[in-house]
Amino acid sequence: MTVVTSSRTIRGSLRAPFRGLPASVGLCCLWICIVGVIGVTARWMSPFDYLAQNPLSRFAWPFASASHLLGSDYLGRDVLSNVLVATQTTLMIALVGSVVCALIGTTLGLLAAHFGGWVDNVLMGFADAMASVPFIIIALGVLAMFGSSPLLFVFLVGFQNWERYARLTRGLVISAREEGYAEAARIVGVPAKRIYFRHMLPNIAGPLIVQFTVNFPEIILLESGLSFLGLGIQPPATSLGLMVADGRTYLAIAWWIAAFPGVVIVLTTLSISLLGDYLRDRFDARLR
Amino acid sequence: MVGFILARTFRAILVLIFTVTLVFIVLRLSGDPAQQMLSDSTSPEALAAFNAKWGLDRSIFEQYLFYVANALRGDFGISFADGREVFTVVSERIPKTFALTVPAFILSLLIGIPAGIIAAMHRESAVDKGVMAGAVLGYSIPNFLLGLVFIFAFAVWLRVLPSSGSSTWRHAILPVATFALYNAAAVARFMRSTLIDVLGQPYIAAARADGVPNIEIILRHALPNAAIPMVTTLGFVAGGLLGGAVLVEPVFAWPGLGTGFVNATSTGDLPVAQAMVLLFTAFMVVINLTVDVLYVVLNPKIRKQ
Amino acid sequence: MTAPLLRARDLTKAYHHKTGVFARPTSQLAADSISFDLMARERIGIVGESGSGKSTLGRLLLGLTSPTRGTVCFEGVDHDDRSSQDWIAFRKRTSLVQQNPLAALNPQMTIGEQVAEGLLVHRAASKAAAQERTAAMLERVGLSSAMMTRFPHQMSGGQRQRVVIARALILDPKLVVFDEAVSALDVSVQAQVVALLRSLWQERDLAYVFITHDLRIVRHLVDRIAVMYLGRVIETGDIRAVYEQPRHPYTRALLASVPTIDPSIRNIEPPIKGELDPDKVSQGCAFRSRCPFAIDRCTIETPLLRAFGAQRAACHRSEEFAGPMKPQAAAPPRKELA
Repeated sequence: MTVVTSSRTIRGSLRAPFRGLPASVGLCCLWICIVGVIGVTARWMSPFDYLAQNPLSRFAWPFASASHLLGSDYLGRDVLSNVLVATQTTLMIALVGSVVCALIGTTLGLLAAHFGGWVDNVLMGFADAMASVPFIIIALGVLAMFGSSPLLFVFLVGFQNWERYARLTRGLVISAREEGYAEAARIVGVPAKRIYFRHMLPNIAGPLIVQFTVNFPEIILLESGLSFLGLGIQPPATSLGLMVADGRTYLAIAWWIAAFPGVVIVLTTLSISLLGDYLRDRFDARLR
Repeated sequence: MVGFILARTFRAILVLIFTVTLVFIVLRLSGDPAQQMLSDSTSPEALAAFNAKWGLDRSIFEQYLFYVANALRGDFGISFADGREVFTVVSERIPKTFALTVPAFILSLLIGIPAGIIAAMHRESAVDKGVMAGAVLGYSIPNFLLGLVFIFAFAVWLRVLPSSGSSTWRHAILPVATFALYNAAAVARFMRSTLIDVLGQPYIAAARADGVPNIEIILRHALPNAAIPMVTTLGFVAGGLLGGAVLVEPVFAWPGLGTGFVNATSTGDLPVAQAMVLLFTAFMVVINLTVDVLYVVLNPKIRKQ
Repeated sequence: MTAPLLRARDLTKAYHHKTGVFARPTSQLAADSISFDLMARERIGIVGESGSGKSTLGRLLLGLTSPTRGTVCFEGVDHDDRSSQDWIAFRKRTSLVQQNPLAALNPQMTIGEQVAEGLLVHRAASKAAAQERTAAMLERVGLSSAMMTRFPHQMSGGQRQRVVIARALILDPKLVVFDEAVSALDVSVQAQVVALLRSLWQERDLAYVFITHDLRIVRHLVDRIAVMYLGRVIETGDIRAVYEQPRHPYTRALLASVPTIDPSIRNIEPPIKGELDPDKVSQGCAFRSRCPFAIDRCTIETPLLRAFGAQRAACHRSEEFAGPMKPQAAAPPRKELA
């Protein structure tokens, strides 16, 4: 019943989502939009090639000159350009990782619910086992054994917390199956695939979207953490975590190299988390 | 109750076996063990001895048994980095990590629990808002970044504390503070929501109606009931500390398990890395088992059965 | 004699449940050796308290759950022998109307989409034709075709139930199971829906199984009735015969408890006490612990269905309930409901 009453308004509330939007959530949306635009246009927006070195203007202070708005680093590279490109990289990885995670988790959860029995036991046992160890430990182990490559890295961060999607989907599908509408569709003779995707998915989409907003910042944090440790994105590519690691050495003389990418990480994860909390309150009271 | 604990212990062992198996499979999948586990300058005799020890000339199933047997004995081979036994390399790092995580754990409880209680008792007060804001920030600031902020503030700017190393107790202050602050926010938030839940229960209203003083309601009625869900949270916090060690220790160049694990990963020191995975898993399994047992012991509903 | 539309033989469904890790699983029969035939255009009512297994029976008939023992045969094809193609054909020719119309409708799909879906998934009509037939069907059940674009939560309970009925009948099925189809509705709305069902039956080649706990409603809707108690049919037969002269004390008690506004009708039957107790059915009559007429024989020997004219009852003392229960109950169905 909860599924029915809580999510039946998705279509309705998407039509008028901004009614009574708190100011803080509005700011979050604004920042997310900015970051989204950066994610698409970073290469064109950046004033310099992010790798271009300029020995004559090393350690330029931020806000001091018009050319290097956010200062420059120990090789004279423009920090602003680097932050823009790094934001793009981090966002791309988090986006692909989140989608991978949602697909893997939802699919496995659906399989567990559909087949039940030993398939369910094996999948959920695997989920329990993985959830009982901090994912970064697993990630380090995998990176140690396979070495870091961009493709592996994206899929690896996508595996973080897949089990949450799986558990969520499994539970939602099982309870949705008990709902009369799924059985009614079965009686009409609607094929199972159509029941799952046409009938159930719109009804369980709300909680899954909320889960996406919870997962996305966590993947940003994981990506930043691993890149910070030098195990993720490798130069010459750059990411926010890698920039922080880079600037760490020069904390005493040029704090801005690490500070700006750090601020972007915090603001982005903060905005998405707050927006997610807000959506959760709007969509689904059961997850609180 | 005994049955429950036995079932949980069995499950814990199952997770361990599962992890060992998984590590074994992944190791075998990722390449030739002799090439992975030995450095390039190994003599043919050493190679033969290695193959015999891990049963590499036998069937894959026997290899697995050899692997499990060696893992049980704590024998994970020789570290590439300095040629010492992996067991020694890893075990000398354990006390270093505990030296950070145990004080941080206690500290985060000492800060988080009272803050959570005050926040729950005085909703919408400054403490409440601070706890909630801290908790939200805690989700959003990566712990390594918080560590860097501390280094910048106390080591670079104020110059009152050392930024890295582990030679004196003063070196431990910043990493412990990073861990503690990070987790205190989470503890406070959980404490707050749990206590608010409990305070909303009918038996609290009944006690209020009977004229039981507020302080007594909190201490005698609410907290014992809030303790049960809090135990589960403490498991999360302990797990978060271990996972966080991987990121926070390297920031402060603290020579614990986390730094060791990261170094092993970045240098491809597989013998150490696989031992680390198993060790961290074992820690987590023990923590989760402890939480499960505590949960039963604290919960009179289950205890009586 | 023509072959029956639906034939159930010895239908039995056991549910197993475990009470603890080391406890032996106990099993409970939700349906116990049920057999009956349903001809085309015939209407049968299944009556019982909640927990009597009547909903399980409905699900067994439609193949939504598989029996522990026994067979269901629809239009000459056994459920066990159906290929997945046969099942699709079966789904097209049968339908179910569920108890709670709000739960039975998908909150995320419009009324039109849901009613038309059967036509589309069975390719029984083109998109445009489906649209037209849906509109016609909605109007037939007393709704406006403008409601096609509405969502379930924008309708009243009675309107929703009409939508569910429209969806169940859009493929012109030969058999429909109504599972407590009007129980969730207000009494005034109930009467309207009952009238709708009667007129729909009149104009269609439709047989149905009407499952309910409400004896007041069922007499207006069916030709035959089967009374269930703890998974067993304890009395069955022509609706008028059973209502005039119930041969089982349980049926008598149920009929006596039907509320009436006529003060001249006295409740002459001793009331039954207690609730359904599934643990006491291993031997003897399942009803004996609540039966005011129980004798020693009832604890030893399980009564079987025995024929009494147009009806059959499973009670050792059926002969003693020879006279009509109360004169007023023999009256034909009252007209104001129909």
